[in-house]
Amino acid sequence: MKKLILIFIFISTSLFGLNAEEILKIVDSKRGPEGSFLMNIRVSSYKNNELQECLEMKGYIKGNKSMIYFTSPAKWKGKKMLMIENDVVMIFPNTSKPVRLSPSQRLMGDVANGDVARTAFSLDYDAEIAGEEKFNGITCYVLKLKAKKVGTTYNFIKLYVDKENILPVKAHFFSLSGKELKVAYYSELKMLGGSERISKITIYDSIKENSHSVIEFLSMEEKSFPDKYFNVDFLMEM
Amino acid sequence: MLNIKIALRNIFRNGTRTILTMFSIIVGMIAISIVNGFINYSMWGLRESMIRGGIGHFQLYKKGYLEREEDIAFGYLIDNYKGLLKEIYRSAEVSFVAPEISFNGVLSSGEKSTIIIGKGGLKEEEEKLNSFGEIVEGSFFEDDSFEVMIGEGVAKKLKAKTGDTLTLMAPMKGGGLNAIDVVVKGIIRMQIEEYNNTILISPLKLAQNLLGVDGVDRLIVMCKDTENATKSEKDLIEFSKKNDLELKSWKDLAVFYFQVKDMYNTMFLVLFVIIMGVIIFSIANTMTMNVYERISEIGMVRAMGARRRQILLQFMLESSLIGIIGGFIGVILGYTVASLANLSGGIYIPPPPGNAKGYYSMIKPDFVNVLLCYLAFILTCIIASIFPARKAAKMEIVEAIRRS
Amino acid sequence: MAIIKTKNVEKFYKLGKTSLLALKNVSLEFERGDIACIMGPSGAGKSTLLHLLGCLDKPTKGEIFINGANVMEMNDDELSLFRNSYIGFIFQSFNLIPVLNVYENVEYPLIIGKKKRDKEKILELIEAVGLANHIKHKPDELSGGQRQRVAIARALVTEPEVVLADEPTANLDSKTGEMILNLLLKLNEEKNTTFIFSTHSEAIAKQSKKIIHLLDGEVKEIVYA
Repeated sequence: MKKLILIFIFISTSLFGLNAEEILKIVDSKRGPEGSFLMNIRVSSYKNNELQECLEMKGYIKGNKSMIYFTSPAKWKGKKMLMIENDVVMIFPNTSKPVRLSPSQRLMGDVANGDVARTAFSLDYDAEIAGEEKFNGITCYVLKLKAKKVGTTYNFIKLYVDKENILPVKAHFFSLSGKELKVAYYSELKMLGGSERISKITIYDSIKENSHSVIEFLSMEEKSFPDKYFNVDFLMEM
Repeated sequence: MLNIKIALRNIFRNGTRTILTMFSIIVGMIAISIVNGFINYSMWGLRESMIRGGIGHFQLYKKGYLEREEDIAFGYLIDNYKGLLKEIYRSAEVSFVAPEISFNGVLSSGEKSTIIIGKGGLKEEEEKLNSFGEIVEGSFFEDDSFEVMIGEGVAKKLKAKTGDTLTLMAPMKGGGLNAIDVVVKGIIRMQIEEYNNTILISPLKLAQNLLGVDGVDRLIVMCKDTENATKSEKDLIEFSKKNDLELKSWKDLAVFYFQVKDMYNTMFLVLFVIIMGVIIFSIANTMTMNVYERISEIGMVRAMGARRRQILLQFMLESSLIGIIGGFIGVILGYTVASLANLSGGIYIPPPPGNAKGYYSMIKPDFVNVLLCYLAFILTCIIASIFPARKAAKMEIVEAIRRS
Repeated sequence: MAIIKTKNVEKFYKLGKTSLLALKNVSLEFERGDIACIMGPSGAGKSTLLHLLGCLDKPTKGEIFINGANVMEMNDDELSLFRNSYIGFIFQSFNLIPVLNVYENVEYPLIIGKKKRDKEKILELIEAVGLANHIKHKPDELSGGQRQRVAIARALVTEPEVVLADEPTANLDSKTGEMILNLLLKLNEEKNTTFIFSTHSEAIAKQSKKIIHLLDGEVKEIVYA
């Protein structure tokens, strides 16, 4: 059903032109399924192209609720991160209380907590088409994404979307003060959760040279979870 | 020899005058001996208290640790330290080695949180190192536990007491935050007030788990005693080169000690110069009078064929003898006073600024220093006599004889 | 050969604003073994002449030869050595060294000149002046006459060619003075040392072979005995 709507939007927009909201919605669908799904994620950090650390985690996503469960390496195993809207809470195995964090806080390397917990832009950002630009020979829509609420992972994003196939190409992320924090490049289309989606995001820190990180989406599966998966007390007991 | 005999008889011609002159030298020498003895002992005490208060005799770091640009030391840890410890212990002069890892983090009671500067170490070694001041509540943690000790200021801020559980958070190697619940085993009070507001000491294993590392950032080496520590230095330098480490000795680390030493040296120098001034005045005065009284005698001796130089040297010899005898008596008396003071238990010194307790100081003069001062005083006497002695030598014989 | 020879000697003093010509045009000769006497009223220049003859001072004009050596050509150190070896002094105020005993006082010129200290010779001299029993005594334990005798022994210990005595008996009573004079005469006989006195004493004048009368710095008259 969803697929039909998308095809319809695709055809109609190719006939009539798309608006920003529509583009963003398609981009989101190229990144992850709508609704409730389970994904396996690998995050790797590099310095001077040498691998520094590699984390593996399971992501339980339900709309704007995400629970990330870390599985590897040993020192991360058992930790859980819960993100509901813009509230992030970290649950450590040997503690009696959860620790409040923010989505923009660094998880590891150049990856922020919000970068793995959220795959859909439209939940948090209002979009506006700022024009068209060519990047690497690809004609792109340039979308200006503004955070809906205070406390979102980023205040402002400049998203480049391939005009032809509405795939995200790259995004520039900015802080509240307008400073560019990172640049992400979206690549490697793979069959994930029944559809072709972006499986690799490469993030470059705009300030630190020689440092970059990679988020790999290894698998996605539409699945439903009980609400308690997103309950702090339950997670503390697990 | 004969000149000395004559010189001795000459200086005691007017015994009172000579003794009064010697008095300034004797008292000066006693003052020097005692002040030197006091300073010497204080510096020894300061040195040992710094070394045995956490600095140790030597510290070993991974090469690059000290010059690193990043705040956090994750790239400069000593990973294979257990093996290295064995090797260090082979040196006969080493008493023990304390591996430590330092970190910054946040300690939270749930309602309140505060920044802490943490140190992870082994119980036995940290107790021997005595770097944590005194335990005012509770006791030292056990190595394989989640127990920690916190500074008085930290406890106050978090309204924590012994037995309470707090959450300790710190960034991990490679990124990300880690947190562990810890139990307050002891509350400590360190000598420097600021430390009490941020210090946390944990078992080494706990710190390593928290930070996600296996290594330590330093090895603190304590030798049997400070004098013999230098014997180990050469071996340790080689050892550190072989294992990609950097060695610092207490001399590099105890900056405060050297600052105090400089200050004391300056004060001592001032005292010395003042005493020297008094002696110069006294000797110059005495020798001038001596020369004046012996004018006719000088004339006669010149008539008999003594050269000007012989007259000059005669007076300078007399002056130096005053210095030699007076200084010698001064040294003997100075050491006697020092010994008596020491036997009676020392001199009570009230608490220095920032400390709670006073202490009893011994007086232990350094022989070489005292000897140098003694020689300097003798030289002072000789120099002080030059002017009057030259006047004596320059006299016209006929003038001098006329004075009879 | 004359042991001392002076040629047109002049001594000119400048004391602040005043100046004084103490000696003028003095030409004298003394032979070895002479006993000579310089006489004249106070201020005539007796002491000045004696001091010049003893190399304690240098003339402002003229020359002095002692034992053939020209005094004018010697520097201060050379003069000192010269005095030590060739000249002995006896002054009216004895000028002994108070911290040394009789033996040590007599020995002293040998120490100054770094010469051999022959114990026998020193004791011999002390005996010759009759103080054998007072060897260990200090000057303050001796009478005036005894002190002068020590001075005499001391003046002779270096075996000088010339002994200059400035009013040697002035501070002694007549009896002691006579004794001292006899002693000096005896020594002159024994050792053939030249003696030159500066004195008011008639007794000494009587014993002299040559009397030089000075007046206002000039040689008025030389009387030969």
